[in-house]
Amino acid sequence: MSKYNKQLPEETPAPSRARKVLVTVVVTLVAAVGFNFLLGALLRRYTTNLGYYLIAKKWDLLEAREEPVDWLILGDSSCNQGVRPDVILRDRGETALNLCSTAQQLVVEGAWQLQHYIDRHGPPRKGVIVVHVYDVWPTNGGGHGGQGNRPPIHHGMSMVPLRWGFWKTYEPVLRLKPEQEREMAIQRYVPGYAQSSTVRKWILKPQSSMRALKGRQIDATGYMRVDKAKPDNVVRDTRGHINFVRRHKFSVSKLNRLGFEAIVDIASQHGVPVSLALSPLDEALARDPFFSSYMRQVRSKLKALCNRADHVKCLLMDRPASFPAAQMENSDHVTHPVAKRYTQRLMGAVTEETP
Amino acid sequence: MLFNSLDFLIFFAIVGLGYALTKRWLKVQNLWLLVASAFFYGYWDWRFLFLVGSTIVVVHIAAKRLVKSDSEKVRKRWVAGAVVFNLVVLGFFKYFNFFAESGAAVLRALGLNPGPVTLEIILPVGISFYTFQALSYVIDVYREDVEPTPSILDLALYVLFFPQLVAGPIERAQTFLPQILSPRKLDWAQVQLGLSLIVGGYFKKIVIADNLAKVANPIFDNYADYHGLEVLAGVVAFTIQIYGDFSAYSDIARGIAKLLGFELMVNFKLPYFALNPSDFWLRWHISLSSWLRDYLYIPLGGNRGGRFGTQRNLMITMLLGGLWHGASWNFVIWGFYHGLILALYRVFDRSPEHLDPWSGRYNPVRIIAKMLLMLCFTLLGWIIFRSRTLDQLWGVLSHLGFGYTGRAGKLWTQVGVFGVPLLITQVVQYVRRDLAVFTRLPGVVQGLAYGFMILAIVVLGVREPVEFIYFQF
Repeated sequence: MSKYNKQLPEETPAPSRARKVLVTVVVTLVAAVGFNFLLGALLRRYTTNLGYYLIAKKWDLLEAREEPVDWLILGDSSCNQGVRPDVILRDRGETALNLCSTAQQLVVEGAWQLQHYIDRHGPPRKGVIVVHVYDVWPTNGGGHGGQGNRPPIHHGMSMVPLRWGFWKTYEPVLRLKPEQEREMAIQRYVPGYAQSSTVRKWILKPQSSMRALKGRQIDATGYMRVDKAKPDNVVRDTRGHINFVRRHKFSVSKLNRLGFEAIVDIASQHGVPVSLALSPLDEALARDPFFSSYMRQVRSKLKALCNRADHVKCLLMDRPASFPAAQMENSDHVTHPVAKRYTQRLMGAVTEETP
Repeated sequence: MLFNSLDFLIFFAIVGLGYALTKRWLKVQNLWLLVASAFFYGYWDWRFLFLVGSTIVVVHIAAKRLVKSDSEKVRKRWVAGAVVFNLVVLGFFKYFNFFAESGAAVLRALGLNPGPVTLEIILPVGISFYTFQALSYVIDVYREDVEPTPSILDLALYVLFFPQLVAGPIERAQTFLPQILSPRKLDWAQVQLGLSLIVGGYFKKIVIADNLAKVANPIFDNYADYHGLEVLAGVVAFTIQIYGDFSAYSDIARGIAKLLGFELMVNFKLPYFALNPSDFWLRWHISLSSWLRDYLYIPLGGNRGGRFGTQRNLMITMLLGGLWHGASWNFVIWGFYHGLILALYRVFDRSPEHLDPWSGRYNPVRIIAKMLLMLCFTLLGWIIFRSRTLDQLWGVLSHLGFGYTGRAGKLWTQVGVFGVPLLITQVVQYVRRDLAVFTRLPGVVQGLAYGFMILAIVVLGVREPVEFIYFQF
């Protein structure tokens, strides 16, 4: 029929030889691998997943740092936007590097960062400050904290630029299951697969991706500035925290205990003091009776951790630093002006209590 | 075993290795392919093998008898027996419940209570495809268009050949049996095209069709929640999805066959560029439409019975073609709809412009307008095809419109992102009138494109394997 129909397309392949087929196959494979790594580089810089972004960014800052600092700040995202090294420099003339990333990485990542920093620059001159939200401590990752589900730690570990297997040599040593290692390998070496939602967002929602990327202002000291307060979000989040503390007893998970012990041990080997502090909190949350009761357990368990060595102190435990909802992004994340006050309170406590 | 599964990739690697190792011994190689094909089919449900086995045995015996007998009466009995056997098996497995339910509904409407009428019947995968393929063999032997193959194993390979077993193309014995009976030669041009078809096919299925299914499915399933352009986005998404899905299967099947040295027929020729219903059926599911033409429409009398006879034959062919797709009234209505627009086209528009639209004899605006009009008819047809009930059909049609909402913008963005790559490719193929246009690019450029498509499959592909739509037929 088609011979009468001059519009119907035909399928006549161009002449080819073994060489052309071979070139096509080889270039296909090389291009797939090459595009994959190119996408990986783009994702490392422009991922819309804030957690992955923070992990990558903080390790990149650590790698790029040429000068040693006085203070090394380790912790989660509350610390990432709550502790301002510029305030420390202005008020005290001391340098600091904020390496705080995300709660997903537990206290464990701080130990790896400290070890890596010391390998490169020697111990921080003044000390190490560890800041976490209270609800990070009970989890081993992959479970839920006050703010809901969190991805497991090995997902975030794929963004750590240390050589493959670092978790077997850096303290604390993690024993991952084979399927977790497989998953992490995919996340690390086929990042587009792992972060397909980011790629989809780039393509399908370019404007909101741009907004998300523009909203991040991380300076060379590792501090991320957040200007917009979200009082409604704080109220909602605080309600979630209160529900959480009503239903749970506080404990320190195995991974977090190992992580903190590793920080203490590494610091001890180099004679560096360690300060452990609680994150900033919403005033309404801090006042809540259920939360106050829960905080007694928090203080007791964390102080027990601090009391294991002389050079370790617990800060902001008895009177957590709390701020009005109108100045916060959620129950434990502050905005830029409040970050200054929190940093001053934190450093004041460090000075008072530094052994 | 789905083409878009890891199981299949492992299976094909093993089959390919065995195939290469046995290339010096044709019979061993064919036997290897037969065993692999039986394994491929039995992987769904080993019991299906008995069913397809009975089809093969029956047509083999009938074909042998057809050759041996000189009596036209006896020959007719054998061919009719084989056809009836196959249609009864197909009818039982595919249509028993449909007709039983429909009959019961009529009885209930008359005030009678027929009681439970349906049976628990599993529909064997690909039964419509391999039954038609087997039927064409025995009918062609009867017509003396094909010599019956002496070995039942060769016939079994013709019916069971795994790349096209479950969703076509529906091959003809005339073109496929000779390929089984003679040694295959490696043709690098075909290998090059095969690679292009395979990578492009997976891209069309996993990236385009499966992502657009995520747009279309919620809209068709919850049509009451969608309005105006949102519903139109769902309809357009399904239009691209069904083409992407089905043509992807054909492309992958044909690509795999090419790597094995076999040629399967082209099943799609840019159907959405058709200018009229007749043109559409020269481009869509060509192996089925040509089968229906050769074994149903022409035996019914074709266009030899005057205007009324032709229209009647068209309508019967399209109704049965619709029913071939599934035991459901929407497919019957879809067949009727296509029969109707074909009949109307033959009455009102006999212009042969689709035979050579860009010859300069026709106004280009008119050609493009007709193309768009036919696309609208096709969209309407897919609404019927996709709607499982009359309520759903009416619901989708009544919610369709041009009213804009913020959600419509998001849906159309997805339709655009996943549909535009296909559109661009097809425009190039249409303008060049060449489906294999990409094989003319240098190997490096092809490799870059395929590498990009593979990464897109990994990154943007829908993760859980989604069955090909035409598997259900």
